[in-house]
Amino acid sequence: MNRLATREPANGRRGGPRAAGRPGFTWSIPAVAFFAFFALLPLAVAVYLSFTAYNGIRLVPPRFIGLDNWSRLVTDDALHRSIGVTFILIILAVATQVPVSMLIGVWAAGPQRIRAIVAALYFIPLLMSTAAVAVLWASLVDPNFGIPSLLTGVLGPNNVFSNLLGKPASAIGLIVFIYLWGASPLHTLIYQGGARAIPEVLYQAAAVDGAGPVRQFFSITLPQLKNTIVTSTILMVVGTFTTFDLILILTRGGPSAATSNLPYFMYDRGLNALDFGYGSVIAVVLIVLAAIVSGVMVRATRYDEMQGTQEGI
Amino acid sequence: MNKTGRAARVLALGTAVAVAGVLAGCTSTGGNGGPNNDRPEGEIHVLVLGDAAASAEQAAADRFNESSDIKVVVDEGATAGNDYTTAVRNSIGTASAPDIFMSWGAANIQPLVDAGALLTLDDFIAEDPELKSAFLPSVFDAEVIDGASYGIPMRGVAPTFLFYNEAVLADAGLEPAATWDELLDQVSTLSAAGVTPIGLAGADKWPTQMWYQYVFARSIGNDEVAKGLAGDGDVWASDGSRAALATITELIDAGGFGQNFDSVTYGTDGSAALLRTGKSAYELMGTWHFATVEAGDPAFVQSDLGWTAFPSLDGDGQDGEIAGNLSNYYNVAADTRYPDTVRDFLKELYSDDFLGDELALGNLPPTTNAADLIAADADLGEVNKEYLSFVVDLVGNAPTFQLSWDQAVPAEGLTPVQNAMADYFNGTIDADGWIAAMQAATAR
Repeated sequence: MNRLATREPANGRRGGPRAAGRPGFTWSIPAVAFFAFFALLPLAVAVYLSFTAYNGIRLVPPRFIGLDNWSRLVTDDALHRSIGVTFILIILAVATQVPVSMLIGVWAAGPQRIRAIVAALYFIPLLMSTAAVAVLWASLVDPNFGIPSLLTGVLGPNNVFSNLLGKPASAIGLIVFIYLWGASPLHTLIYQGGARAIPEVLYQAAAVDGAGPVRQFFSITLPQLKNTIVTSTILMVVGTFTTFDLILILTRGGPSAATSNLPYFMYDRGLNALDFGYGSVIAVVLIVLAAIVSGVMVRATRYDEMQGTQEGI
Repeated sequence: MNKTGRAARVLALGTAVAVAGVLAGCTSTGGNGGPNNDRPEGEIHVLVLGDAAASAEQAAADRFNESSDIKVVVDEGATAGNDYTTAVRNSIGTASAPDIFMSWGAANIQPLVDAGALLTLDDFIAEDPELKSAFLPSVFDAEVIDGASYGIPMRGVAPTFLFYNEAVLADAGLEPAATWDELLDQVSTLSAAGVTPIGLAGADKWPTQMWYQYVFARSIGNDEVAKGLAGDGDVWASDGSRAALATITELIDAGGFGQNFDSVTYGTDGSAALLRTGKSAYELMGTWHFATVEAGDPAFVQSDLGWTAFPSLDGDGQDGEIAGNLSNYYNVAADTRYPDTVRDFLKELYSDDFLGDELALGNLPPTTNAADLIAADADLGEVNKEYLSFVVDLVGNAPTFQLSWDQAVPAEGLTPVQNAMADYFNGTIDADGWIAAMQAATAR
């Protein structure tokens, strides 16, 4: 907003096509009202509840207790751990999904029909609800009836895949893998679109100059995809921040709270324990952390400036 | 810039007004001074848990409505206990709150009792003593708080006990274990036969808890356990408690549960399938396990499913002490408009029609006449009768019946208790860690 504002004529006179194309605040009232009612209002209530003791019984209204809930932030090891779990999941999700989505997306952007068919198959997980995905995978990793039992002939009984949900590292690994399987098709789609928008003439020129496929990828595709990478990664990070259903159904935060990320921890403390005050504190922490991270990402990547990648072409 | 500023102000104002409205809504709900005449006229509402068993409650309402001017309206609520409890808490005290709703025991309703939201049922019982005397005392007493009765048992009694696969044991030349030492001895034989001795859905944690409930009942007795769950931290740190933990460790280390129990779930047919396909020999589970196993393989239940009381174990516990889920209970809102109608409807809970419907659902009625009902029920097969009679005897002969630990502690203790169970079982924490976790989770 500020940046756009500074580009206005210094005398503040409004007129011409620019003013015609940028309607006033009135136009945005429906969107703002929607946002206020479904996002800002619940947030405001959560902030209010975070200063109260409330166990969900309306007969006993929330009782103001000042900073008591907030002071638990400092001492609650379980909360600190779940913040750590949240960031580990985000880092692993980005580290796995970006390369896979980018490579498959760029590959699928090619004109051959076989690519379109493979890509269509690859997008199937996108059509499934997370709850169904979680139940499906719970069956697939069952040590006695799932994939691990099929591997006992090769890897022996009690092999590395037998107790995936029982060990902290493998449970996190499994969640990350299911994210990758379930979420990368969406990002692949974004990369496919981004790659198709790169002018063919760039590759033709590079080929004339003697650049091979690898050189073309790093010198043309990657730089041209800059905005796509940023968009996709921000979606990934925000999406992973709020992942809940998969963890609720597949691991219930276990084993030993190793997969209890902030949304699950919030559910556990707020709804399982019926402590809406502290649950609200966790909700606010989640929102603040997500806002900081996405703010930093937007700043660091200068995404807010939205510079074109094809200037001069 | 100006426009942005104005937008922000409009937004802030709108939000503030909206928040004020919500908060006003929160505080303007009524108190609990007698009947609330804003409630619907000529009807009482029963909120039922929306699962398959709700059909029996609907049928009871239909029967009752035939002869009553004030009608009972059955509203189907959530199927998950958490969501159900939250919905009750949110509506209680308002004119749209249910008159009758369900709960899971004293810890579950304590906050509602504290809020004055529940009607004590002692006047009802004085007018109709059967509202109490028809039910098993050990079950009825679980919702007696400070001498006042708040709940009438309904739905099934669900103690846990040991299920086994008769064919697997027979193939290994074994009899169902009657003592802990026998169970421990059988582990190596069964393991050598390529069978997981005991199936355990460790990923869900609450099945793991069942093992503690019984080993502690045998080692220190349920009365001590109840003290511990009520906040006496010394119970968990006692020598008896440490001995119980060591006993559990012995079975785990012997390979009693195999290596991968923490990846097995109950909900996706993990442990039940193990038992019925002969991949495990034993499983400690609740009454409902019969129906779960039957759903997977009806023929297996008729031929090879066995059940027995939890093995005996040297310790301070009495013979036959049991643990599990006692029952569900109907509670009544303090501000119900038609208390007399509510009282009369509650009588349905010990009527033969209702109890017959419960039996047909596979639920063991929490009533003293359950054994007679089972014997007289022409619709029940022989195996089902044998099974239900076993459960009746198990409950009838039990000197104590401890409610599942995670249900017996206040809501905030549920997850910590479950985590302590799972973490000690898989070795993440040792005995000291378990004791500290239980002391923290049960502290009041």
